[in-house]
Amino acid sequence: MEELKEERVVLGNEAIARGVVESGCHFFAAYPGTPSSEILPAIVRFKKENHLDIYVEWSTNEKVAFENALVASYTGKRAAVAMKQVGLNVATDPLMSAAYIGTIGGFVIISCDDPGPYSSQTEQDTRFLAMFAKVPVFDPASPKEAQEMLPIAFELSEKYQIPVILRPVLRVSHAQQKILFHPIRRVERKAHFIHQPQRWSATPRFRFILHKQLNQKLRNIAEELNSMVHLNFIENDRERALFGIIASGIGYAIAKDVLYELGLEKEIPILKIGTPFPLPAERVEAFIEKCEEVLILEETEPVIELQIRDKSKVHGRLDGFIPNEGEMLPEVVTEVIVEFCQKYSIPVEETPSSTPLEKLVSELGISIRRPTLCSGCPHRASFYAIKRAFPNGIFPSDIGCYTLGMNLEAVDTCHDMGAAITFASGLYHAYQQDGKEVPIIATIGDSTFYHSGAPGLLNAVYNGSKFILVILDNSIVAMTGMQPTPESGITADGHPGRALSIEELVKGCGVKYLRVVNPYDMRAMIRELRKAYRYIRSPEGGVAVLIARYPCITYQKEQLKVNPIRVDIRHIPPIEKDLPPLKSKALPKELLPIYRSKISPCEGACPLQVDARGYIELIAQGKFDEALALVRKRNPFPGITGRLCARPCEKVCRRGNLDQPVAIDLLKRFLADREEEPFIPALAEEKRERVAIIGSGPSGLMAAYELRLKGYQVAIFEALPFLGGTLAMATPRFRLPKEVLEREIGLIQRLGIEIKLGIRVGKDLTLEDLRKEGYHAILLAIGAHLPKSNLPNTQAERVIDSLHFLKGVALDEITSLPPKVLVLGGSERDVDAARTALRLGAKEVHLFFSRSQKEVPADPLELEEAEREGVIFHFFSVPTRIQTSNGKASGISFKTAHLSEPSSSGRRRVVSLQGREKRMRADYIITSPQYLPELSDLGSSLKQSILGTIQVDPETLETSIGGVFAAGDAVTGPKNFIDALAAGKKAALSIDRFLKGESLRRNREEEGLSTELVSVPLDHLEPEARIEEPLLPVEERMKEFKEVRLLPKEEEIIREAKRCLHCGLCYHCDFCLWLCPEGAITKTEEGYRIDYEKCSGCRICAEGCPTSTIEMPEIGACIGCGICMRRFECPSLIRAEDGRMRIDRLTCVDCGLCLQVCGQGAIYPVTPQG
Amino acid sequence: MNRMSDQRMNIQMIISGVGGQGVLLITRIFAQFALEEGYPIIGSEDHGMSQRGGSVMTHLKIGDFNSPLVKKGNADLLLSLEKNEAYRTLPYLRPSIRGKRGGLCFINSSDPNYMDPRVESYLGDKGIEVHLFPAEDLAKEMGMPQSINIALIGFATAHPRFPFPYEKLRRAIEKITHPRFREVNLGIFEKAAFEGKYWLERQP
Repeated sequence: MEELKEERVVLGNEAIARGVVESGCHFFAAYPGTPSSEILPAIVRFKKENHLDIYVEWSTNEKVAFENALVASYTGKRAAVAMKQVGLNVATDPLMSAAYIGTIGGFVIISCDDPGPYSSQTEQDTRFLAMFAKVPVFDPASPKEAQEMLPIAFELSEKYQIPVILRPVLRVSHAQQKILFHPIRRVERKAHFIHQPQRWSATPRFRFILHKQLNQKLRNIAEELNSMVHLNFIENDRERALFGIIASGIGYAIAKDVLYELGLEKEIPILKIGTPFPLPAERVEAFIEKCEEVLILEETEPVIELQIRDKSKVHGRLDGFIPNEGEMLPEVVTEVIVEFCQKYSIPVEETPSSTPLEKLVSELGISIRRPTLCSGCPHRASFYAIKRAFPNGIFPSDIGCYTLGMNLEAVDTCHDMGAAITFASGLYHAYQQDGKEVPIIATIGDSTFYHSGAPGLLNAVYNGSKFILVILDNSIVAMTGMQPTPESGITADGHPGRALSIEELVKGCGVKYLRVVNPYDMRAMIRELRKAYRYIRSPEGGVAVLIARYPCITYQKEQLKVNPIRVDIRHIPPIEKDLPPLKSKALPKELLPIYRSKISPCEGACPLQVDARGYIELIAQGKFDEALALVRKRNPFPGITGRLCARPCEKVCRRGNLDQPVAIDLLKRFLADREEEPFIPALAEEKRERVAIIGSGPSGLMAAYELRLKGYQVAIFEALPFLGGTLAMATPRFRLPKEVLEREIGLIQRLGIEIKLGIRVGKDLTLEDLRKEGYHAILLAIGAHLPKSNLPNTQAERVIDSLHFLKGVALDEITSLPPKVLVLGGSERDVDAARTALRLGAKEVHLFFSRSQKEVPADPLELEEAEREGVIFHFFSVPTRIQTSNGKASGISFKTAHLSEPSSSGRRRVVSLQGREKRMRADYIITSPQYLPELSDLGSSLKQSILGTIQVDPETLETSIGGVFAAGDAVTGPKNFIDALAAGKKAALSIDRFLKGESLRRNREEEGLSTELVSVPLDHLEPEARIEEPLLPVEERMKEFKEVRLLPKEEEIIREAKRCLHCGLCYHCDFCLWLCPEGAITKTEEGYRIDYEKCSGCRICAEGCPTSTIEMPEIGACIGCGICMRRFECPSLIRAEDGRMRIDRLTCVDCGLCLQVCGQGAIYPVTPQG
Repeated sequence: MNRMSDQRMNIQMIISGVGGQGVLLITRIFAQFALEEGYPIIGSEDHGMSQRGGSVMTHLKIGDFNSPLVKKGNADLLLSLEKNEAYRTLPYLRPSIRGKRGGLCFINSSDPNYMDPRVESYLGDKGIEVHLFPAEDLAKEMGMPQSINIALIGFATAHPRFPFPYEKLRRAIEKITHPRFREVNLGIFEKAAFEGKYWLERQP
C-alpha cells in the first residue's frame, strides 16, 4: 500500500482532511461553518482520489453530526466530526456525556476557532470547552502540524477510549502551506456494537463511576503527554534564562517569526505546547522554574495560564500583557517581546514602524467596504420587500449570508442558529402582554431552518405566537461555500439521499398559513407579506410562513441568462428640467416633498360635492352623528339619496380598481335611517325677496331648501296633491318607502316654506300672475312627464308609458294587472315598472332592451334584483310595433338589433335591425317613450331647445325670460336623482345672485365637478370584499311594497367604512415616518414636518404615501440621493465622481431588480439590441 | 525549523482587493510557482463574510516561515487590485531599513494622480516604490474584464526587483487558469508585461 510521496500547497482545512484520511478514519460527519467548511469537501476529494471506504455526510446540524459519528465509534470504527467553534456549542450536550462514556474506535472532534472574530458570533476558545467537558485537546500551529497531529489524536482516543478535540484557529484552517502527503493508513474495522447497557445507558449512579474513570484517564494522559516531546517540546533550552516563552498553536508560529525578525531566534527558550489540556504540567513547571519570567502566547483565552498553579512568574492575558480580545497578531507579539527584551537589556533588531503611514492613510477618510449581498441576490429583493411592507417592523434574523440584510435595515437580530424564530415568538409574547401590536417579521435561511429552526417553529405554533416567518430559500448553503441542503437530496459525496421539502416540514410544524413567493417579483412579495400580516392579525391567525424561493444567483449564474434585464441610470434629465444640485436642501422648492390634501375622487365626482371621504372616516370612528352632519352640509336628503343616487362617487372610488368600491350609498342610508330627531338647520337672517318654485321634484325641493336657508321667502307650487314630484309618484315604494320620503320632505315644511298643492302653473296661474303676486324670481322645476313615442299603436288600450304607470300605481289608480306584461325599455323607471308589475299580480313580466345587459341604463344592482324577482330579459331586442286586437294591445313585434363597434366613449349604437320579425303575446304593455316637459301653457316667450326642453343658459340656468330660471328634467330631459338635486342647487345659487344683483357668471367653475381625481397606490393593498347588503327575501317582497334593501349591522358598517383608502387626505398613518430612510420626517401636533436639511430627495415617502397626500414630482434622472445604495445596497450600484450613481458593469448581473427601487425614475431598462 | 542559510527566496507579500476581484487566484498562481520551484510557502486567505464584496486581503510568505501572517512594515511586495484597498494595505510595506531597500507596490488604477501627495511623499522618503497601472482598462480592452489580477502581475514582472521571473509565472498561470480563458489570460499577461517594460523605461 505504498503511495507516491507528494507535495502540495493546500489550505489548512485540506491538510486537516488529509490528516483525517491518513489516520484511517471510517466515518466523517460535519455541518458547514466558517472556518471549518472546507474540511469535508477535501475528505470527499481524497476519498474519490484514493477510492477510500469512508462514510461522509453533511449532517443537518452539529449535534446530529456529533452523535452520528460518536455512535460509529461505539461500533469500533474510527470517526471524526467537524464544525466551527460555535457549532460545538450546539453539540455540547452530547460532548459532555461522551467524555464520561468514552469511545471504542478513535473519535476526534475538529472544532475551528475564529479569533478576531472574522465570521462568527464569538471569539470563544474551544480549548475551554475541552476543559469543561474534560477531554484532551490538540492545538496545531500550522496546517502541517494539524495534519500530523491527527493520527496521534486518533491513537490517543482509542488508547484511552476518550473523545479528543483538534482545535485549529482560522489562521491554521485558512492558511495555505506546502505539505507532504503521507501514506493513507487503512484500518480494518467491522461494525460491532457490544451491548453494555451499564455504559451506553448508564444511570446516574454509574455516571459517578464513569466520572471517576474519566479523571483517572486524564491523569494518565497528562502523564503520557509530559513525555510526548514531539507535541510538547522546548527550543533553545538552557539551565537558566532571563525570560522564556510558553507558546501554543498559532502563538508558537507567530512567536517564531517575530523572534527571527528581532534576531532572537537562538536567544529565547520556547516551550511549545501541542496539548493545552490536559496540560503536561511537569514539563511546564520545570520550564518556568528555569526562567526569571515567562510570557504565555496562546489564542484566544488563558487556558494554559489558568492551569499553571504558581503564576508569580507568568505573564499573558490574565495580567493584560496580551489583550484579552481580538486576534493576537504579530504586531502585538512583537511589541510584547520587545518590551521584555528591553527590561532585561537583551539587544533586538530595529523593527520598522508603520504607525505614521497608518495615521496618514486614516486621515484620508477612506470608507470601509463592508460585505454586501451579491449583485442579483434574491435575499436583497426579499429584504427590500420586507422593509417596504413593514417599515416599522421588528426583524429578528439568523445566521447566514442573509445576516447582511442588516445593511438594508431589515435585520435587527442575529444571535445563534434558529434564534430568528424563537426571538420572533418571544417578542410577540412580550408585546402582547402589554396589549401592543407590532409587526414581527423573522427571516431564516433554508439550511438554518433545517439546522434548528423547526423546534422553535413547533414551539411558536404550540404557544400561539403570531408573526411572519420568511424562509429565504436559495436551495444552497451559500455563505460557507455552496454546500447542498437537505432540499436538494444531494449528499456530501453523492451517496443516495432523499430530497426533503420545506413545505412539508413547515406544515408538519402545525403552520396553517404557508405561501411560496418569488422574491424577484418584489411587488407581489410585498402584497403577500401584507396578506400574511392580515392573517396573523385575524382571530384565527397564528404564525404565517412565506417561503421566498429563488436560487442563489452566485451558485446558479445561468439563472439570470434566461431573461437578463439590462438597466442604466439616466443622468441627463429631460430637456425641460435642469438636473438639480446634489443636496436636497439645494433642490428647487418645487422638487421637494410636501404634504398637500386633495379633493378625494368620491367628493370630486359628486354633483353636490359631498365630502364622502370625511363622513366615511367619521363612520369608521363610530361618530355617526358627526358623519350625518357632514353629509347634510351639502345634501339635506341623505335618506332619499342613499336609495336613489346613481352613485357617481362609487364609480370613481379607487377601491374599485382593486376589488369593489366602498358602499358609500349604503353608508349614507345607514346614517339617515338611524336618525331619530327631525333635523332643523339654522336659517340665515330673513330676507324680503320672494321666490316661487314651480314643481316639487328633487330640483324644486333642493332649490327651495337652499334659498330658504339663505333667508328668502319661498313658495312651492305643485300640481299634484302632494309634494315630491317623481320621488312621490314615479318611484316605487319598495325602493323609497313612504316614511323616508315624508321624513325628508318634512324638512321643507319645517323650514317655513309656503306649500301650494294642486296648483298647475300655466293653467291655474300664469308666470305673469306670479310676478304680479310679488315673486321676485321664479324657478321652473316642472320635470318632464309628457311621453313622446314613435312606436305604432301606443294609443291602444292596455298600453301605458312607464311614468304614467308608476304614477297610476302611486295614486292607487292601478291596483292589479293581467298575467302577461311586457316592458319595452331599460331605463331605471322601466325596471321599476317591471318590478312593480310583478307586485301587482302579473305572472310573467318580460323586459325588452335594444342593446346588451352591460348597456342597460338602470343601476346594475336594481337589474339584478329585478332578475331575482322574476323579470325575464330580452336583450338586443327592439320592438317594432304593438299588435292590437279590437283596439286592445295583444302583443308586440320585435327584431334583433345589430350594434356598432364601441365609440371612443365605449357606447354602442343600434345600427340595424336584423332577421325575421318575432312576436310576443301580451295582456298589458308598458312603453318607454321619451319624456318632455309640458311647456304649452307657459307662453311663447319661454324659449325651447330643439329637443323640446326649456332652453337655459347652461352656466346660470336662466331662461329666455329675465328672473325666470329652470332646472332638472325640464331642462335636460329625464336624468337621475342626484343630477336633479345638483341642478336645483345650482339654480338656487343663481337666484341668490340674481336677487342680490350680482353677476350670475363670475367664479362659477368652483361649483362644478372636480376633474382632477387623485390616484392612490394600490399595489400594496389586499382585496377586501365589499359589504354584503342584506336584502328582503324575494317571496316577502311580492306581498306588499316592502323595501327590498335592508341595513347591515353596525359593526359591518364600520368595517365597510374602514375599507376607505382616504385618497388625498393624510390620516396620520405614520407610514411616511417609518419609510423615510433619513429620519427627515417628524410628527408634530399640526401633522408631519419634513426637515429639508435631512431630506435626500429619494421620493420614497411620496411613492409610499398610501393616500397620495405627499406630493413630489419625479425628476426622471439620478440626483444622487443614494436610496438605491442605502435601502437596496447593490454592490453594482456605485457612486460616480459627481456623486450620482452609475452601474458597475463588471459586477452587474442584469437582474433588473433595481428598476423597482429608484423613486426618481432614474433607473430604466435598456432596450435589448437586435 | 530553523531558517536555512542557503535560502534562495524569502518574500513576504500582501495581495489586496475586494471580493470577486480574483485576489485568491493571484495567491494560487504564486503557490503554484513556489510548488514548482520547491520553495516552502505559507499564507492566509480570507473566506466567508469578507468575500461578499468586502475587503479581501491575503498574506503570502515564500521561504522558511512559520506563521501565515505578514506583519505591518514587513511586506516586500504589495499587489492591490483596488485603489482604496491599496491605501488600507500600504502600511504592510517595508520601509527602507538596515540598508535594505523599501517594499515594492503595484496598484491597479487608471488615474495616474490618484495617490494622495502626502502619502506619496511619505512613501518616497521611506524608499517604498509605488507603481500604478490601469490593469482594469487593459483587461477590458482585451475582452476579459475580470482578469485585472493577471494584468497587474504581468505588469509587475517588468520591474527588475520583482522577485518572480516572467517565464515561471507564465507557466504557473498556464497551469492554474481555466483552459477556456487560458489563451486570453496569457495574452493579457504578455501585453501587461510589455506595457510594464515600456512604462518603467520612462521612469527616472
